[in-house]
Amino acid sequence: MPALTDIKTYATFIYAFLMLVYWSGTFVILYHLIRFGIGNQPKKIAVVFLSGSLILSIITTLFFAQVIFTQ
Amino acid sequence: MFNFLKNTSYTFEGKKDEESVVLFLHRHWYVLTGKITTILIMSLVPILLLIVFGQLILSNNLIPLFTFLWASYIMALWYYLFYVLTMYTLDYWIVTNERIVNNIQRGFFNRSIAELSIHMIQDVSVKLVGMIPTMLNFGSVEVQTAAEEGHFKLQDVPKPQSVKDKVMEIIEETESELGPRMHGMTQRHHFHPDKYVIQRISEETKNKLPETDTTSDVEMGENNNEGFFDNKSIDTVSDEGLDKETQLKRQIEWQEQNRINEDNTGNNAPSKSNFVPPNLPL
Repeated sequence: MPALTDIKTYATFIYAFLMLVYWSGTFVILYHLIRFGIGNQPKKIAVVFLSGSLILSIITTLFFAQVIFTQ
Repeated sequence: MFNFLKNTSYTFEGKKDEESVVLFLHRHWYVLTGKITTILIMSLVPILLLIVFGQLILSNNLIPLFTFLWASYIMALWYYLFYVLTMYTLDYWIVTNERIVNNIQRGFFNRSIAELSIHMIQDVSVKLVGMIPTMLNFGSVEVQTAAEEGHFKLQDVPKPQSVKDKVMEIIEETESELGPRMHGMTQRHHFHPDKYVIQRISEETKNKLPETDTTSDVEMGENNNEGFFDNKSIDTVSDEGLDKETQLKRQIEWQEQNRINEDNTGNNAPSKSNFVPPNLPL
């Protein structure tokens, strides 16, 4: 049976990888909105999306840390 | 710093300097309601799970894990919501004083752009089908072009009647600037109707005239008098199967040729009937 610290390390790597995937997707959306959007509406959507993604990423990371440190 | 969020004039890739944007259209917001409602319902799933399995989560001290999974789930929904909004935002029509541009976004890396020149528009029609589109006043505007199968569809646009009126207004303005159109073309296309008709008649005549009839009696002239029966190709051709225009044209040619022949007959060459060989006793 693997040690608990090993499981935590793997989980952290998996979480980091998933966050990387999420932020790559975020970049693609932001790029499309800013590059191909016409008028100011796409830019507003991009700002809201970026702000929400940042806040949600911080909240999720905090909850992940709580799981890792309390278990 | 946030100047880009203020109202700006619409501009797009490939816009000409003298071109001005008249309408910028998206689909009606109603087309989004289905997807947004689904996202809202899906965001309530964790609450439902908490109600059903709340006791189990509390007793096993799984609250941190549950909240982490909940936040991750909301993050994924947030992403999907903005994916839908991005596709909606990038699916648009631009009506300028010169053309209609349709940008279709079917995915991140699936984008197609079509455009139609205002000069090519023949007619514009509006379609509102169903109770909700009628109540919310959205529908499709179909723009018919001069091409056989060419039509441009602005689907689910708000206030389609005003869109149609605006497009017609632009066409009228263009016509007053460039002159009346003919079969979807303006004077800019250098179309000359007279030239076209003349060319068409000559092509028809060329196609319908049979080759010279070699068995014709006029060619069997006993006196071998060349030049006397020069109009044989016209005499031997039948008028059957030709239209009135061509027949009239041929008749004029035939009369002209006869007049020339009559002159020739009077001066130099004798006709077949009154030909008398010289130096022979009568």
